[in-house]
Amino acid sequence: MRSFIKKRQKISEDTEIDMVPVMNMFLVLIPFLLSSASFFDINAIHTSVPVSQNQGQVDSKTQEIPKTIIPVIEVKENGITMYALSDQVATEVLNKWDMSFSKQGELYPLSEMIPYLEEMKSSFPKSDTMLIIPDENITYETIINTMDIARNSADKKLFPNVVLSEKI
Amino acid sequence: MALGQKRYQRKAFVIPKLQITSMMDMFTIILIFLLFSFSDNPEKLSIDKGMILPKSTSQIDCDKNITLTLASDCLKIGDKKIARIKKGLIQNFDKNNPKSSPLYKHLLALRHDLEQKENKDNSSIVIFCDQRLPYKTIHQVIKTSGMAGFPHFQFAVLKQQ
Repeated sequence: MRSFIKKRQKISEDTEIDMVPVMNMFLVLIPFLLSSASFFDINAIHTSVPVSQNQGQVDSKTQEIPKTIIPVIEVKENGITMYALSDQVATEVLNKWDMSFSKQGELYPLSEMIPYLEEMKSSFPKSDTMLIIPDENITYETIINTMDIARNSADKKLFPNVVLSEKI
Repeated sequence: MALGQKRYQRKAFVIPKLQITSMMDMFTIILIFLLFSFSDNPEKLSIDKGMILPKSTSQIDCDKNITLTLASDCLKIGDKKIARIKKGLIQNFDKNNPKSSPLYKHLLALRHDLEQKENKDNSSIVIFCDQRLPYKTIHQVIKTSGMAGFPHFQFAVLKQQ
């Protein structure tokens, strides 16, 4: 009986898994994964500056495309002014979207613009361009936040083409 | 004699066993973390030290184009330092005559290079800009870039989790 127990103990001592090959594999995998790891995700927001066109090009385009408007967001030191521009829509219709939102403490009331932007988009679904005119001391972070609001609402795309400009 | 033999009899050498279980645990955790942060194009873009990029909901990936870095103290194209920035103003930059600035000259040279390579469509600039910089600095850069033939930009942002 005693010899049987001893034999059994010996067997259990001998059946240890050899982890050395697994360790070797880990040592190869870890440097490889370290070299291809990215610790932050960088994405991009596409934008552009206004480019001059000759009159002929503009005329031919306006005949083809359906009615569109260009919402304009002016980001100022004290708040946001919003309005719409279009040479295809009556001024009375455009005046409907003349809005201004005062700054709440240090924060701009960007979310308050969403219903108006959604209404603009549903009224003129072919519109996809928005103009943002920040004041010269507005920080880049505020501009990006404004762009985010202008491009997407919670579930749909609003105005994906954002153009940055200055007040003329 | 028998006692003496016993005294000098050495014990058989036993190979010491290395306890690697804890090391295995550590490696497994590192491996899982690295697998989650695996990227197929890791060295595509990098951020300068001290620069804080804004966070955005944008889901579009950055293209590998001309990179323009606007840090709080300097302006760079690629890795080349073009001008210093002091209090949000680019040094050696005449607001009324942007074409005389080193930035315009560098961008124009890049434009000519791209035209020679017939790579006109792929000519947007990726701008890495510190989130604390005012629009007047950014506007100087994008206006000059537009004049040099680069009217399209990509603003690099950090993905909002």
